[in-house]
Amino acid sequence: MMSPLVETMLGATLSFETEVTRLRGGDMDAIATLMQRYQHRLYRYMLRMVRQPATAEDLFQQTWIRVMESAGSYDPRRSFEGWLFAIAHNLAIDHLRRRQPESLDEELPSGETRVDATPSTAPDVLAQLLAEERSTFVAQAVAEMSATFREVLTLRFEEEMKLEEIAEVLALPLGTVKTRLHRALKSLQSVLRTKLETGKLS
Amino acid sequence: MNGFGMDDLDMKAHSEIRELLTLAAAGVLDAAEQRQVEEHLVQCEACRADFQSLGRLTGALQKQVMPQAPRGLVQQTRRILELRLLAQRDRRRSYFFLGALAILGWTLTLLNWPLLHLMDGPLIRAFNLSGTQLTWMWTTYILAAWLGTALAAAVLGKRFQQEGRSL
Repeated sequence: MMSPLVETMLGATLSFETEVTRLRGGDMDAIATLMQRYQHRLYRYMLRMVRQPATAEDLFQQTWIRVMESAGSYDPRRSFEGWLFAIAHNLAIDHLRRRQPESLDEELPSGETRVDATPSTAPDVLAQLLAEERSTFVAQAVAEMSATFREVLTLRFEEEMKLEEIAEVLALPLGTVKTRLHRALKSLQSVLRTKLETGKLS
Repeated sequence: MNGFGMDDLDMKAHSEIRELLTLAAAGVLDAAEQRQVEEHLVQCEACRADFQSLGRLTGALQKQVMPQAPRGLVQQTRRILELRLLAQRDRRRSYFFLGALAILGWTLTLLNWPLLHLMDGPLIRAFNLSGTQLTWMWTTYILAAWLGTALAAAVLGKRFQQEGRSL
């Protein structure tokens, strides 16, 4: 006999699998159900990537158009979430490349080699501020980072994806994702310290 | 011994662990690496402080305000998808008709010869047609068949062009 919780979870999984199967047949209701399910996560990811709500909405729509067009070629053995975010990633990167011909890895104009410049035992004013839960300035600092760093931080900490899932979305080896996440966190730590020291935090 | 009170072997482990601190704070290490980091943190004050700082940073990242999709975005997207689906189906139908028209054009052309024979034999006798009338009938048949299919193809082509622009 199954507990109500297990039954609910199993029901949700079965229903999700049904939606994905129907999606492959080009069923509009299935696409609408999946859209409803992923709307906030997908929109948030796009917004973090392109930073403009109107562009994020446009890319959100393009992602679902692409999903509808390639639904027939979707391999159900693959995670749907990974597939969906991989489509979104490709569209966002294409958009950023068109808008910013410079490298997506580029740091801020003020950014020296922040990763290596991080003092390991600096007086931790940062720790104190973070403890006070002033996370708005963290969001502000993330928004100013390069697209590749913003992306890996969003996927890990907002979308709560595992490294393997991030690797699938970005189509990168696991080792590269680890390095990117490490560098992104070190860079963020360094940016926040610099901002604190120069009093640029609002 | 070095300046931190560690021998060279400890210092090597310390440097290796420092590289893992960010990933440990991000919660992505495997169980063995996590244990290795935790064991080191018990002994190393500098790493412990750095790990705590990184932990607060990742905590703040998780606590960020999560923007929500604007109201109506899903419905708007669904409408766009439905329109595209309709346009796709319409285009498929149009391709089918275009193919059918091409086949019809070829069939009518190929029918020329047997028809001409029919007109030349039984028809000319039954209706008492002159040579000029026969030529006119044959020319009209050819022109009607070709112009009809060409016109239909042009109308369909124009429609494809308009659909292509609106999508």
